[in-house]
Amino acid sequence: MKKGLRCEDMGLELPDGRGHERMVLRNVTAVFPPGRIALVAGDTGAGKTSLIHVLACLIRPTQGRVIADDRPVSAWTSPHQDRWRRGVGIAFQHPRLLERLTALENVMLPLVPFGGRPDDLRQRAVESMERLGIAHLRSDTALALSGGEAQRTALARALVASPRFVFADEPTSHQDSDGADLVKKALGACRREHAVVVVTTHDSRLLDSTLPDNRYRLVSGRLEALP
Amino acid sequence: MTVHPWVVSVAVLDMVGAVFLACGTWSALRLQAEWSPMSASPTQIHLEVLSETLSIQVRFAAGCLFLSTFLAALAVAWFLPDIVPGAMCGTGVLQAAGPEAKRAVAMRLFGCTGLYIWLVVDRLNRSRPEAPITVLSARTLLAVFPLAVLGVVSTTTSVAALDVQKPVDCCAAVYAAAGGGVAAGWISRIPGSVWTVVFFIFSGLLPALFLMTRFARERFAERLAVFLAGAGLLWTGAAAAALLEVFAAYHYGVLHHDCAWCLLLPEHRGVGFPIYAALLVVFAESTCIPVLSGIRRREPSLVDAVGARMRSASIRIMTAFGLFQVLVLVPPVVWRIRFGVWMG
Repeated sequence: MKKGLRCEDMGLELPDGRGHERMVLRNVTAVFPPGRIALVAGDTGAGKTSLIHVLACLIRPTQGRVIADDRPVSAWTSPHQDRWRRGVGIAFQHPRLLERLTALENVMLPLVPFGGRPDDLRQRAVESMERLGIAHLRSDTALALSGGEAQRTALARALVASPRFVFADEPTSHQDSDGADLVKKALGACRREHAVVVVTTHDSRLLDSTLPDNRYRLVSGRLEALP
Repeated sequence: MTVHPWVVSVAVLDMVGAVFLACGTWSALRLQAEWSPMSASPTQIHLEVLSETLSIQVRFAAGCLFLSTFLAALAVAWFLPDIVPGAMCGTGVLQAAGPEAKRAVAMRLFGCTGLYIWLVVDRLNRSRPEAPITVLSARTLLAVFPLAVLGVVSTTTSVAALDVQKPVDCCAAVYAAAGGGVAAGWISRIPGSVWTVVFFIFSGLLPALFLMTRFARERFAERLAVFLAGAGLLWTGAAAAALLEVFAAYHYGVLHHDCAWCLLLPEHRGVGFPIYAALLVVFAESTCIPVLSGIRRREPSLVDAVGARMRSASIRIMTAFGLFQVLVLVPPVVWRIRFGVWMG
């Protein structure tokens, strides 16, 4: 059994709103092994977010497939993908927090399907928030958080269930240098836990750091490995 | 048409069930024609949503129809005899409803069994992420739909024909049948002793085949399970006949009374419900096994899941078989111990 995440000859076409289909990803073939951080760089509109969405099975590729731990998850029906996604942590480009819930409640949400005592869930959520330096914000509603705080809360939510696959879309875009360091540390911790980590960014603080093990560049929907 | 709360409940449940079943079947038509696994086209994604919706709709419809069947049996056995002059049990109610009533009972049995088979197929299909037998599941539903709808239509027709003015002779007809009267069915024409022998032969065969399936090698176990299913179906027929012709008398405490409906009466502690439920389980699970065997040969990705389901089917058959044996054979033994003779 081949561990990790693979995409084989993957392509994605999306409607461009003018009645045509636009090729967003073309013939993407890559292997993202566990315990390594893959960093995907690319200009705005290169297809980074679409790549994250396809890898996390939020969109089905129109060509090729995504294989997670030797299982063709992109071809699965949605109830099975939903179950698989319990082992996936996604930090979206926009935090997408539930505004009326507190930061702590937002972070606890991915733990709910696993069950367990509320106190245990709360404890795990607080630990995840501590890793990202936002434990003091636990009682604040998501609406009251700044952009950077909300982004770290979203990352804490993505990582709280110790996922097997971590996808982070521009995780440092709203962070100051201290915040960016905390984000890098949290992603580094995922590597130690042998998770598959795929991060998209055009932030030089991540691009030039020692964090990534593999670097890629997306150019017009094509994924190129960088040395 | 007789407006009775129980009749209305059954009719409403039937209508709701039939509507949901029709919606599901309409989706099944599209699924079996256009299903294209691995495709990411908007049509396929829409079909996957449709498949999920279909599953929910038909499971709900099956729940409605199973419940309405149970309520119909309860109404015929317990409540409708009160409004039909001369009726003492369900036999009188069926007489008052005319010949369509017997057809309704048969169609309901087949419709419910068909829906049960679909539920088994659908569950297997949904157990695999690729949903490998979606087309088969859709075609099964298309085959089951007419049976289930005919059951609903027959029930509605017989309820509409229910005559609560004209007296019926109810169990007198059954007694007449015992004496070779006009109402005698082919079951009654064969002596009870023959049914008893056939029943005991299959009652011995069933556990023997079950044990063989448990201890046989994988490839023989499947074939033996199919034999077990065949024996189960034959046993169901023999058991039902032996129950009515021979063993029911021990529950009634009279020398000969082969009424199927009296067993459901509160006077007999409704013992017919678990007895008939056991027969239904053996019948339904025995019908499932050949279908499962066919799926196993056709779909390699489901071999393990189908194997597990076949094993659980055979366990269910044996559990229901055991329940039936206890409920049907204990009273004669008790009778024999108390009075020192067998009946008849």
